[in-house]
Amino acid sequence: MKDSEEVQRLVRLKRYETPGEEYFSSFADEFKDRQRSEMLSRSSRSLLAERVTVWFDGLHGAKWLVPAGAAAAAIGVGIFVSSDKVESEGSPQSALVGHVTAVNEVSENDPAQLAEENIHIKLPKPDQRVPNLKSSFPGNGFGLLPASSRGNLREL
Amino acid sequence: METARTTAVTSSREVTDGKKIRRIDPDQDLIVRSRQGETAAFDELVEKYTKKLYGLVYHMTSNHEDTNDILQDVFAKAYRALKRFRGKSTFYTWIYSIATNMTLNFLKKRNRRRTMSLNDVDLAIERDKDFIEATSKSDPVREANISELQERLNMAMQQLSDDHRAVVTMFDIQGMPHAEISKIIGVSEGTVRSRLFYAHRQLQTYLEDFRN
Repeated sequence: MKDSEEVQRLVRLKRYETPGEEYFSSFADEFKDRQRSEMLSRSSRSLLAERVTVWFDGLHGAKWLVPAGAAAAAIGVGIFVSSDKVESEGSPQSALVGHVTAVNEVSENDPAQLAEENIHIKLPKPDQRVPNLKSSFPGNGFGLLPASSRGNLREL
Repeated sequence: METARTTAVTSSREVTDGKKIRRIDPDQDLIVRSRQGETAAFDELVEKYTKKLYGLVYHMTSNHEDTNDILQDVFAKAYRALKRFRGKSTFYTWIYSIATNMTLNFLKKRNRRRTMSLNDVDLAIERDKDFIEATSKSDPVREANISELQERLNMAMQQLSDDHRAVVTMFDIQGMPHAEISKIIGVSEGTVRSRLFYAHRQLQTYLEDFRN
């Protein structure tokens, strides 16, 4: 025990190993310079975020305000979104947009409609277009119908 | 001796708030002002704790330049982390924890890099007036060569493990109580006492010549 105390007494002498006051004052100056230059290099956005965080942290007695504020913000966003939706449903422009969307949806999804787009119309040969038409008929090369048959067809 | 281990710096005022006892950090005002962006308030904290933290880091590293660099980093880190300081401990304990952890990390890196040589041990303060006065007044070392004693003390400290050196620095050199040390290092008081016991036993061997 005594040995231990002697050792402690020797080790305690080390507390006198300390640099002079000049060192400590220059250390403080060095730190200030470093701190200021660090602060200047930081963006204004990060400083604002820090200030906001500190302000929120300062609300120790009213911590319930944080979830309450978040809930109020969520409700506000919800109301804004729903009112925007109702407005858009009521306007004619939006109705048209809605219709186009619907059509697009059908055309994209309905296979019958897709097939319709690919239909090719096959016309009969010119000599088969009018029954009993002679191939030597002079108007054959210029039109579909002979002049005599036009009236009949019009009546049809 | 134990009574001298609580300094004015560390003591926190206790206030009875109903049934609860709240401890008021003596640095509370400076902390609040620093968090609000008042750099002058943080400068006051730096000036207040530089000497004590210098002692802690220096006696763990035994190198003035390393101590200077570590201390700069400690205060910079503390300033950045101040907004996350919840006041569960005093500012003094909090910044001491930062300094201790940063120094232990530094020592781990340094030990990996190379082993400590005598040249790394700073002997520049061996002509310190206070030290000479103290050693000349103390009986067991009156006849000893002061320079040699200083060197032996430093080398003996360096023989200890980093964890053991940390508790010896805080307890023997800085005069901190076991409870405070356990809070700073994050171990039980029993572990602090145990580390001190083994560290003292090891130091006895290294300082055998100077004890008589």
